[in-house]
Amino acid sequence: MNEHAPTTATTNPEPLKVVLVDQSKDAQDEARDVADARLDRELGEGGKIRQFLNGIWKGNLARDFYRQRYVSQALETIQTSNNVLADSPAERRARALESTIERFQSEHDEVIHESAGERREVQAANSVLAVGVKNIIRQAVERAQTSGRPLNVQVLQEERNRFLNEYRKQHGEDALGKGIVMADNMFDIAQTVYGVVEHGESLDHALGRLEVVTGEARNGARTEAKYTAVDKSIDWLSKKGLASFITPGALATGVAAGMAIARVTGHGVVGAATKTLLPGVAAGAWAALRENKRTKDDRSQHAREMAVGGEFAQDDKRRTEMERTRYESVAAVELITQLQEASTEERLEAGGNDALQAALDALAAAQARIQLSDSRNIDLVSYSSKEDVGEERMMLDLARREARLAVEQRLTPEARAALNLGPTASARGLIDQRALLFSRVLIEGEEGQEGIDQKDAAFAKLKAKRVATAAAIGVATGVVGGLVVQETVAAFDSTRFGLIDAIRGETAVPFEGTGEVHQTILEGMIRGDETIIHTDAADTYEAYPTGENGSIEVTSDHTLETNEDGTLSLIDGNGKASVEGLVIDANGTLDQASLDKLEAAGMVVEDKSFDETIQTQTTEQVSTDQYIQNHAAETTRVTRDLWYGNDTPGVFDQNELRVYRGGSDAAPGIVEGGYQYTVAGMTQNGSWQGGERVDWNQAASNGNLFVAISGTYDSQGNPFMIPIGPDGAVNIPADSPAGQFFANENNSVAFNGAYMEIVQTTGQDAEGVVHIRPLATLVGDTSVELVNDTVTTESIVHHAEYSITTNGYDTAQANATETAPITPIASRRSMEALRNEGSENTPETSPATPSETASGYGYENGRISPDRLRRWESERSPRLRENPDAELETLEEVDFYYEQQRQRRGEAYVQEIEANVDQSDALQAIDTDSRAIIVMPVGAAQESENIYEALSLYAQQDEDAQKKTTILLNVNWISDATNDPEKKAKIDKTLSEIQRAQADFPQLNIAQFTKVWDRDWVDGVRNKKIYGEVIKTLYDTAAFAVRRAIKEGRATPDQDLLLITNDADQKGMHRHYLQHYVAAEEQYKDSDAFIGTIRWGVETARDFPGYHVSQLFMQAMNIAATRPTNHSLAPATIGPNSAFRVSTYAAIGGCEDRDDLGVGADSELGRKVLAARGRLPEKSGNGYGGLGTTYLTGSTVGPGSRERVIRQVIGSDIDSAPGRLLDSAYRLDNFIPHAWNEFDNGSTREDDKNNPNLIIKEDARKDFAPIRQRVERQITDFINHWYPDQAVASFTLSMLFPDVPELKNNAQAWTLRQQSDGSYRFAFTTDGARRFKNSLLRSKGRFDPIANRLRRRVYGEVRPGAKIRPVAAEAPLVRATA
Amino acid sequence: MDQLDVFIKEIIDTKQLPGITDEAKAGLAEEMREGLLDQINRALIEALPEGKVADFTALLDKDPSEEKIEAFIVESGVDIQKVTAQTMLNFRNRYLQTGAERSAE
Repeated sequence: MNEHAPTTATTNPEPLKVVLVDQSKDAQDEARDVADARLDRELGEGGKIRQFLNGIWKGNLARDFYRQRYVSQALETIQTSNNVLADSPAERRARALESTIERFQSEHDEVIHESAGERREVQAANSVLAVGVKNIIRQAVERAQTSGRPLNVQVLQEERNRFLNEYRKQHGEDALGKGIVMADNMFDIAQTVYGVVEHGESLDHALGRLEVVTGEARNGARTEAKYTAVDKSIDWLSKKGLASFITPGALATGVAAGMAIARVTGHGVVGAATKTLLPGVAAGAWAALRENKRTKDDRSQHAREMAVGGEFAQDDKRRTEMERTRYESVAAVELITQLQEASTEERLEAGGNDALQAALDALAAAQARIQLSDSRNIDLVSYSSKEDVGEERMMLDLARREARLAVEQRLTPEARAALNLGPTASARGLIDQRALLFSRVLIEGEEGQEGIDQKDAAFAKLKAKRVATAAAIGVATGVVGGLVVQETVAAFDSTRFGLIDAIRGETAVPFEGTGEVHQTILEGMIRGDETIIHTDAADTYEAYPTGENGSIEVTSDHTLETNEDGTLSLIDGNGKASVEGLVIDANGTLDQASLDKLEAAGMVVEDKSFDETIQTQTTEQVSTDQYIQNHAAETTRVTRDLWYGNDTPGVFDQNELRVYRGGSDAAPGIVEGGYQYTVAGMTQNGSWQGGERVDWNQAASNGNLFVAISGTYDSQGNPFMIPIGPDGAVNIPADSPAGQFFANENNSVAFNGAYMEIVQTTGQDAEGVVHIRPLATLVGDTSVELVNDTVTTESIVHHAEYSITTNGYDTAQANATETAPITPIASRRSMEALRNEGSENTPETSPATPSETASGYGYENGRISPDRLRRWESERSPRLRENPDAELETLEEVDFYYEQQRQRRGEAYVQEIEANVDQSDALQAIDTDSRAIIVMPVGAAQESENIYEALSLYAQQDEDAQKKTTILLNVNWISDATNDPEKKAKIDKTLSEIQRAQADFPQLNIAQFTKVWDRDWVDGVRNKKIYGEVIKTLYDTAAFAVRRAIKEGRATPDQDLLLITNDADQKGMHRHYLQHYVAAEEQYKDSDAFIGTIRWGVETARDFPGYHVSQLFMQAMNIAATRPTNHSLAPATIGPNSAFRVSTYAAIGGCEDRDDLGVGADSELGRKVLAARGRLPEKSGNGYGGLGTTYLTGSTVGPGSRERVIRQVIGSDIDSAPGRLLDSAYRLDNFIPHAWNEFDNGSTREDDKNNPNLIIKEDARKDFAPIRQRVERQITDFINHWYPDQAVASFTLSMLFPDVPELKNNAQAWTLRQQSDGSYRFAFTTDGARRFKNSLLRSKGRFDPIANRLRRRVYGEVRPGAKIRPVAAEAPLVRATA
Repeated sequence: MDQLDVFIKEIIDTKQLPGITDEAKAGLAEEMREGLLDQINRALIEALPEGKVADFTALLDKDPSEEKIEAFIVESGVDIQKVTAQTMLNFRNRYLQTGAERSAE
């Protein structure tokens, strides 16, 4: 109930409360919760092996390490964002913040839980804090007034931070808390002050209404977050600047011990194993202690998570076990319901004293739970989600207060007497007293309900079991696990050698520091304390000289060294002698004993020794005989068969005397280089002997004529033979052996040998003797006694050379066996991650582009804070502020809005919007016939393939409606998009496609303006959310264009136009879409906004019939919410198909103008309209205070009388691209509106498509069961989170899933049951499910899938084989054309 | 360089981080030293008997001297030497095991 009487702001004396709430404790708890949830999630990832390994590491050994890291990361995120729920969706985060502010604004004691550590303090008006805050707001407002620019949130926040930091310095942490996170509403209040000052209230007066409230919140679950004592202690250390709790001396002792065991090695395997085994026993105790603590931690974590809406599956064993030990909790919403039901006027009136007692009991029961929760740090009350804790807790407190007030009124003396209550006791006292009894029951339990004591006992039992198991496992795993860890470490550590390395065939490398191989115990058992490593003989040789001509080459793995005694030794790579005492002689020859030694050592000796013959030449005088002997090889062995003489018959020709000296007359017989004779003087027939004759010339020509020179008489059997040519010249070189027997005497040749014969050779006999026949003979004086001769002498040199190939050598490697770590490393199975983790809590990561946000709206159709309601009120025109039913004149309102925007946004903004109007002929053509402006955001980098098709739909509309409609496009992109060639091309195409549409559809009035958003501004100022600004500039341009038209006389002052919101990716449209909207504008003047049917993807019904049915329910409920009888619900004005009157848009102050507004801006606009008309639902009709409930606790607007502020336009269907509703939500089994949340999170559709969990296709014939479950879940979520009205939901369900008339008893098709936590659950009955399946697949008994029927009905498609072909023009929707 | 620094240096060297500069190594050592001390501190508190934890935090509120804190821990039955040594061993194993853990994943 709203306790404030409706008043207008101008007379409202209500104080404006600036709240500064420290949430540092919540921040720290949340950081730990986030870290715990993350660890659980990570530990549950992957297959069994990975989970097992993770369980060893993250789940056990390094759990604290990772947890601390995750806590730090989460805390940093929280601190940076200044929001405890940093990882929650923005809308839910904002709502949680608003509820915290609201709680501390409340004056009721119940909402502050001091016993849980909360505190609230209203600062005195003249306190430093109050004065400082007022000054900041005063300066902010004055700056805005002076500059004509809007309030600057950044400047205000900086001023606030500076002031609060200074205040903390001066007054300490206790004054305002640690300041890790500070929740405050200073900017909202400043906006409100600015607004009321604009409306005439003086700034001093407005500031005089300011109250400053400080406090510290405890918004989270009550169960103490884990490790608080430890964290507190560590914080203390940090503050003190100390490194350790213990003195340096004690620390040094511990460190020394740590050093000793950190690399404990023994050169014996047995020693290391012993050192491992003995502490292994102690490891059992260690494991037990640790399990004891962690089981308690798990219980705390589970209790905290379940208290804030956690869910787990039935087969989650650890969770199930822990759930049995969790204290029985009751949902806050259920307690609220109980209190409200127990304290209604009707019930108390009709029920008399029994009802009064029941109300007292309900109050006492709730109080007992709350007090025990707060005082014992346990959770006996649970909440829908962590984001809802603050709000639901506050609503519960307020419900308690309201119930108490109702009870107080009924505590008459008679009633007290009847109920045996003290005559003077206050209601609070009576409730306290009764709460003690309930507390006792909660602690001790009662029949059918286990109390805290029983749960603790159950936990003790569970813990004992786990601890005992852990101890037993600890002993075993302390050793076994230690060995495994040791092996694992060694496998990846090059300085350690383990069994795995050995299996992989790797070589043990000695540790640099010790020169030893550091091995694991298991490897040590195989390798022992020493390992012989054999080094093979090298392929290369090194040569060592031995003696004068000897050498020994040895393979490079050894060296040959000479000992002092002259013997040789072969030394291996370790410096050790493989063979010693090798003996060589002076030549370098190894003696046999040495060769034997080498052979015995396994070495191969190759003797490469050889002898070398060396020739030496000398010149000396030798005797003639000696000379001839020396040149024997140049002589020819001959025998003279006959001598040609003077036997020429009849003549005495004396041929035998016809050998003459050659040369010249001056030097007879002397020629260059030697001596010359000639036989040319011989006659052809002058040589006869007996019957034999020879023609010298013929013989010379035949090569048979020689001069035979015998140096001595004794050597005439071996003369030197020189051939004589056909010219008869006998040339004797002076340096030839024969030449030695000639001399130049007095310039004339003299023959000093024995004989010089001219001979004919006749052949060679078998003994090699050449037979000759002298033709003539010259007889010498044999005067040559000594001849100079070159004498060649030969000597033999012996080379002793050996090649020794060793057989390598062995090295003994000492092994250091390391002690295994004794930490028990059993894989600890952590609690399973909650099943609702991560789906709705996706943090924002990257900006959403205009297009991505273009078709979205708010995730939740939820509660609106009083601050926001007050701000909305301050933004309204005076007409609406004074009367929610006011009739609005367009000119008056757009003038107001124009001036308001000039004041709030500044002149530059107004001029920018005016410029948009200036540049468009179509906008300047708005005239008295105009009835509507289609406002369409176009993300240029995304809509290149869609925009032409979207515009083609308007070209198919009724001609008259086309004339009355202007289409306005805000073609926008973020500045850095043009740096990406792909995006740049898309932007260009989008622009050209619009031009193509303008050319192809000249009948359409298409206006456009382009807007490039600066990336830094989008990221920094807009918090990466731009959609709110996209539509604000778009709608403002439309509104200003209407104002201009009226000002310029083209339109009348009271002429209203509709701003119809459409998307750029629509695929189909009702053929009379524009006509129906225009008609609605003209017919329903009492409606400010309109919505049409959105078919989220007609084509998708074929592959995803479950999705089709789910979105159908969403649409049906939204339309149902427009009915006057269903005012418990607020219809959502969804971007792709809604409309607002320009006059209303202006009168409510336009779009919600917040920097963090992304997706949701359109639906926010609808709620602003409802709030302005006093038609926001006050409470849900069914009492369930779920997310979809909207409360008006802060509104000062009385209820309006307009029945249909938002009206459905029949025949205004849009077939919108399903996009992410399907891919990001339904196909991932998420609640469909979750997709809009993803728009702002900036994930891409590619991310969706690559998601391995994506449902590929739904086939109702094969997969009906999961389809049914999905539809049940979606509808259940829509009812609980969006449209929480049981009656409306039931009606809608009856339309969609009528009962089963074919059965005799007309069986129910579905059930909608309320759960213990107050929520609803929708489910098909067995008959209903059968009928539902049938409806998906069949029609009139024939196979006819729902998708086919839908296309026929919507687009007039013809069924194959149909006898009657429908006229296509009669189909309600037309398709887009490319 | 005290014993703790030697210990840290030894495990960094054993890790054989590729391409790490001396400056980076010094920074790493400093960070690891803080991390190790933090873990020793946590281990000491966790080793306190359950009933003593609340007394311990209450003691901290009185701004005690280091000697008083140490005396409290020892009197509570905590074997400082054993806890410190075990924590160091765990710390060392964890640090050296990181690569293995990554590979295992």
